[in-house]
Amino acid sequence: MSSTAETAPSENQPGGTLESLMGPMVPVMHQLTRLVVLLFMVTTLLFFMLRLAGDPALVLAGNDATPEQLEAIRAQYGLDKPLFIQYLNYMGNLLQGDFGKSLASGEPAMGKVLTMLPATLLIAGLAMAFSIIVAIPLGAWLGFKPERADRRGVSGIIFVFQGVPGFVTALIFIQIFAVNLRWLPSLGMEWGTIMEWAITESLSIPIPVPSKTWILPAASLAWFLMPSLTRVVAANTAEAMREDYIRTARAGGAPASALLWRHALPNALLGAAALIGTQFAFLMGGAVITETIFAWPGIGWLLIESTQTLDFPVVQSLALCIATLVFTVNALTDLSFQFLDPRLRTKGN
Amino acid sequence: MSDEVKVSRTGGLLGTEEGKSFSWEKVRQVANPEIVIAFTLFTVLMILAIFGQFLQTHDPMQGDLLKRFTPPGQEGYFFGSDHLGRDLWSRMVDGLQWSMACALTANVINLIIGSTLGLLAAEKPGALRIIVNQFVYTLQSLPGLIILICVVVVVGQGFWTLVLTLGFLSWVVYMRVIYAEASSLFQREYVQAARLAGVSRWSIMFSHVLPGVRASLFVIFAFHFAGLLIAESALSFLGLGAPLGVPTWGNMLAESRQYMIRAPWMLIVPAGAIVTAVVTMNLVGDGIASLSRKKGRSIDV
Amino acid sequence: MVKPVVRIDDLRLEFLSQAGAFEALKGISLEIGEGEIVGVVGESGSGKSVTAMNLLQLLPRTKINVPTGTISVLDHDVRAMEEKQLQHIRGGEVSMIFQEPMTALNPVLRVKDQIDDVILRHKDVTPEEAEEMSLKLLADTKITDPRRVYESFPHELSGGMRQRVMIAMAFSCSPKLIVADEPTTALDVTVQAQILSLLKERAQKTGTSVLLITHDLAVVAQLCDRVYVMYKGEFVEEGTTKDVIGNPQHVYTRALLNSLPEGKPPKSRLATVAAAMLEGGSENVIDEPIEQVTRVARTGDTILQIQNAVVRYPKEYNLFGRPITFHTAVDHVTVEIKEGETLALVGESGCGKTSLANAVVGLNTLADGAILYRGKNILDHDPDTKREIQIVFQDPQSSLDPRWPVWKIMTEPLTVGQSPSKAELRDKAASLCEMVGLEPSQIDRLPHEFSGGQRQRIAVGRALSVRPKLLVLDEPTSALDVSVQAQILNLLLDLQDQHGLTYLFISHDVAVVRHIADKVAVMYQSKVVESGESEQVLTAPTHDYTRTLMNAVPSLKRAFAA
Repeated sequence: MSSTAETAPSENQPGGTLESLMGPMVPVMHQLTRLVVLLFMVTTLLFFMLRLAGDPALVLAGNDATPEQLEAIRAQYGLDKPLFIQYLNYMGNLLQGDFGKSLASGEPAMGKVLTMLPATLLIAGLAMAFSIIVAIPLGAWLGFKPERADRRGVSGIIFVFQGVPGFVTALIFIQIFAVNLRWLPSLGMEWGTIMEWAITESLSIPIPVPSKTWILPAASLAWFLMPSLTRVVAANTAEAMREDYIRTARAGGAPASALLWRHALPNALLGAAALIGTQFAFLMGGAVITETIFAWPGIGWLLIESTQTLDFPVVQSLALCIATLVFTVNALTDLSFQFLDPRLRTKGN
Repeated sequence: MSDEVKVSRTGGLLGTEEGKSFSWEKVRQVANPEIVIAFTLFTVLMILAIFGQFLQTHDPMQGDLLKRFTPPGQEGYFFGSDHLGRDLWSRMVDGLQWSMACALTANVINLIIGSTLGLLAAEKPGALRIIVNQFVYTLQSLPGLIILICVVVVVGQGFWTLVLTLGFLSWVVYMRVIYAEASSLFQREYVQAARLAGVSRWSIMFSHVLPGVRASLFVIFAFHFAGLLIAESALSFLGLGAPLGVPTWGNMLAESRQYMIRAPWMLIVPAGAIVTAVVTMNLVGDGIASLSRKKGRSIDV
Repeated sequence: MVKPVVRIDDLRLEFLSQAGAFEALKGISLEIGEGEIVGVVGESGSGKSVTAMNLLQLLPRTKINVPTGTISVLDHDVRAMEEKQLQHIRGGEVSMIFQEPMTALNPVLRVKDQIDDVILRHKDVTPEEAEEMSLKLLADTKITDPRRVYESFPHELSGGMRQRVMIAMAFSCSPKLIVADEPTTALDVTVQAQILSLLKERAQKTGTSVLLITHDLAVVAQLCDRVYVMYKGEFVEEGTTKDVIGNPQHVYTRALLNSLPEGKPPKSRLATVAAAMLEGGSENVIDEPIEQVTRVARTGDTILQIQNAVVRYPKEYNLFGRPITFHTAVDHVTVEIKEGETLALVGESGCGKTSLANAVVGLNTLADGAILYRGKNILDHDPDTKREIQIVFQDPQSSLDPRWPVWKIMTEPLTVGQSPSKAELRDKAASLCEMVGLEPSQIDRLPHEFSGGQRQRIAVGRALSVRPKLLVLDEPTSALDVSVQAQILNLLLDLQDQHGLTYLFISHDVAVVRHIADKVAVMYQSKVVESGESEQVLTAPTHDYTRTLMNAVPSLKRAFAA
């Protein structure tokens, strides 16, 4: 019954047939292209920068090596060739899946990064989960009636918390919970007892058992993430409460609780999802300082360690790994919008 | 829509035409408690940063080993003394000056790079927009710390190492916000009308678009300033910012770690200083944002 | 009169803000009987929406002050009611339909959730029964596939569909009264006609009373039994629709009716409601007579030819960012304008009229065809000649730089390629102000200090600063109130007379087009379906679409003939 004038006329231009065949795959191909371009740029940028920073032969040979020893090492690793040729060799190896060996320990560089990765993912996941569990209800409560005195007070406290740098929080937590109260360990990381969960006889998955060592690092990271997330949820909720559809719902007799939880909050979470994605992407770079303070063996800790010793292959592998993770998290955030926002879901049709 | 009842609460602090005449009446209208607190704290910080030398009670570098770990308020040590008997208050003031100088310089570099690229990329689609966006994307996916450490390894620690690295690496926030806002401004009808009248692109950029993003520039400047203060102290704490021995908040925190039980004030003083400075700059940012929102607001009845 | 459903007595209402109290309602009284359709008509800022919102106590109670007055709905004193009791009335006894179908429904909830919610809240039924009722309600609003609409998200529906959903929702709990706040203002005329007749039919069938809030007298004439005319927070006149519109007593009502272009001689000077709102001084209503003016006919040579113009927008892109599918906004359109005449492009939203206007001034590039200005392709002209074509946009809010004073806005085009002194520019701006009917003393003010009509005058002044020959007017009056629209139409016609301007006038409003245009081209689905002398096209249309359009336009005359 809708007027025909409302449906916009459209027309498909006869474009390339191959392109139209690939139609549904275009977004995937597009993302993959972006990832390849990104990894290429990261690798290239870092390669030349690291070479400017120092000579790998010196790192390999140590400080008291003789010039002859250095020459030998250069010849052995192909470091005597022109820089551009070295670059081509390096890229060639990368394409074959060879990320090089750690200059410090001789282990495969990417393997070293990947063994550190689970610890970082663990702390990032824990911190995010804790932050979300607190921030969403708190933000909704604050944004529902932001002008009330109690909400303004709490907002003020959160505003101050937002100004506390993560490493300061970590130090204060250590002071209180490890030094003064002696409740929790302040250093190191344990997987707990690892229980194997056997799916079949040949395949089993290790399940880490929660350990006390997880609490302080995760809590101080979460404490750092939570204020900004709370503020975004609160601001978006307050904004959603001013929308026309809230007025419609009120005019339909909806009680205050339905206005907040059913109508305003789902809309407010769309904005919060973007921030959660950004925060998680940020954590993928390794919560460097938190990991350093708590001697947490993750990739943030490895990053400091390997860059300071100019362990080139490890730094390169780290950067590749982090860039891929950041990219993946961003892509997943975009994807999650399609589930959260029905307007994006049908856009393609 | 036509004859709205105007309830004009013009801030005028951002230098618009009507703001040129200063009056206490306007100040009274815009001043809410947050803005008053922000302004007060900001003034205190500025006084300390500029006239700090005259307010120091001791030589920040010279310790008195007989008076190690003096608690705050005793023996003329305002904020106590550290493990070498140095005055924490005087060291904190030195740290403030270092942090402020560092954040300010880096912020100005960020502002220039970020807003220039943002404006140019926003103007029209094309190669420049694609390149800038791809570069920003790469920069965001690459841990800046790697680059900083490389620079530190090559040229050594120091004020300019830190400032220039931060300056050239952390302008993305400016670029993104200015890009988004300027893109929408370039689509405005008054810009299109100016184009039709033959006004040149530079004139459009400087007379319509730049003033349009000015309020946002102030807001980011304040918030980013807070972010740079955190970054500076964190890097010093890691031993990558200020050279060892320079009294900065990050270094003071690093030193405090070994004496947590004996002298908790060694932790509390620099931590409190960082939090106060960061919260102040955040409050200033919030204040500017709320002032620019209030400008020209009308109530539709 | 039958027993009143709603009774408002001497209601005063103030909005409280830091800047002080603003009195929005100045003691209004109103009554709606059972089964009655009552209209409240007024311009923006008159307080009509406040009246509607306050009926259900939807305004935040902390931000308003109500010194006197009672509101009784079905013998309940709503002002004394608790939020809990109000929730029972809202949606149950009284429901509302809002203006913006785009934003009035929650974008993340399906239609089914939004209607079922209301039913389940007010009626003691199971979810299955609620679903059945919802589908029945949707079918009652003449939706042919209720099941699909029921399962849809709001963004998947057209504006008209969404408004049908709103109507279904409003009728869902068989309310005694429906308050409709500008229910069709955001819709195209053909859709508006359907929605209005649907609303009337449903109300009559169910015996529901309707309070219709609108700015459009023709809509009132078509729908309402009685009408209240509202001006600055007061009802200045009330009575049966026939009496009020046929024989208006109050000076404001008369002025309002006389400012409508419908039924007036083409190109005559319309009456205006002049009110000194800005100065906050006296609020006199001036009743100006309609002035018959002899307009100089000075049709000359062809000034603009649009030949087979095609405008396309990319819709989908391939891997390399190149567009592979297009949306064709303007499809092989050919029209021409002679110097000194007005050609109107008329059509509904999305028909391509604005895309074409933008192509004429160079804001869109043509995919095919050509636009010739004085016989030469417009792209080949030198910059000075190009500037002979200027544009005035629809929304005077966004077409003026909010940070610039008026003199700078108006004279910006004059600074191109030369640098006149500030004094020269200010003199020029002052004379432009006089030309467009603004006080020359106001040239230092900023745009937000002006009303919508005055802002549109500023935009016209800016376009005139370079002495253009052809003005493209893109819906210049559709964001304005009718009385302000009359002022702008008068101004445009006078300017054309004095300066021999040529107009390309883009509009969706047939009455306005009939008033101002010499020639008309009707656009529908990217094509021009009919064109010719305006009198002929608009009185004896030959194309089906033009006929539909003409029948859909709400008209005072037709409403009384019926």
